[in-house]
Amino acid sequence: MMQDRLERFLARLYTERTFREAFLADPAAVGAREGLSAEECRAVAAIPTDHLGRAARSFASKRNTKPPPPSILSRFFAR
Amino acid sequence: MAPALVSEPLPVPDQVRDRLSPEHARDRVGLGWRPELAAGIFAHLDRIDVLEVVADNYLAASRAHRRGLRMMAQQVALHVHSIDLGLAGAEEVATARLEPLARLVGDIEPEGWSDHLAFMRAHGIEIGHLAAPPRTEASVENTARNLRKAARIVGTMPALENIATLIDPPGSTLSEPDWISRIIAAAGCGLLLDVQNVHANAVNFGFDPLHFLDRIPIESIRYLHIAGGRWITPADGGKPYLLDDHLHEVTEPVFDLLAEVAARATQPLTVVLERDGDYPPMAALLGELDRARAALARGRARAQVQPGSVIGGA
Repeated sequence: MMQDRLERFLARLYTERTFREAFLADPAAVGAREGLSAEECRAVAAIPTDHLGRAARSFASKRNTKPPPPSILSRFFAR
Repeated sequence: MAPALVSEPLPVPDQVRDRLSPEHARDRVGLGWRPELAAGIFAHLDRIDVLEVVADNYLAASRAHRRGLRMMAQQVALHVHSIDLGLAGAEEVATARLEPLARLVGDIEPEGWSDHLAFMRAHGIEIGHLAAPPRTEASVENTARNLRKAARIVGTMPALENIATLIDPPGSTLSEPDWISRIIAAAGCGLLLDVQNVHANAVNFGFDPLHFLDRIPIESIRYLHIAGGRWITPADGGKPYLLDDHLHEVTEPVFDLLAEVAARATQPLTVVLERDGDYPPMAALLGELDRARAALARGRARAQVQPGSVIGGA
């Protein structure tokens, strides 16, 4: 099991909608095309579809979250 | 904004106080530092034992801001919490990410620093948040390698936090608690136990959180997080799941788990409440800190008289 290869695959699943849709349509084919081993293909194909969808939505929401407002520490400490 | 109301701490029952252990006397409870809460925090430092600063918000901070944080660290125990390093990823953590953190830690001189058991990126793809890597021997080794590098550059070993995940990471050969234990043993780091994350993963993936606690090295816990989340019912009518959003109050099962940790631990414990938005009045947050103190007291008292689970006990 190659952690590097599998993490790259997961990162694409979480962030690329078209890649995710292709994977959901044919997990084995997409896994093989991306160089996953048979064991790794079986592992990713077992991800429940609803879990993958909610994870992708959650990550997208985090990526789209605006950065925090400037600290107001300066109101107390800055000169 | 309406002025925060001041609430009285929840009293610890006499029968509990009488059994408090020396460890409990040194337990501490505090809050994640958020600029929106600054006024309330400064006004109630007598009820806040420790603060936790999110490192990522201050890596490019001015000298004035850093001086302010350093002054704060001289007034109250302070921890630095990093989010972005991806220490559990296969990729070697970048020196360029560690050096700014090292400068921040050097400037502030906190009690300690921490990051997560997660990967954030792979081959240039930024996921945007904490993702659970496959829990394997390989990821144990990679995490230990990254931790050694981080400790060398920052100057001290971080505590590592267990994360909440919406996906059981595929390709895993180790259970989450066994994976965590292996990493702690391999790297010699401490554990930042996020109790809400244990609870969320337990309810979402159907395991017993007490069995999780059975399998991690309780003595390695450096400090703990508590937080709230919300239940989400999928539009398609699927099974509801708990989202760890840090936008809601801490629930009773999380306090119960905190009490369970307190019953099992022999070292003093430090608990930090994480709240990342939809801020309630300061009185409500202080009330949650009081509930955490009460949970710690309950666990310590239970340990004194009857070792064993405090969940579901009499």
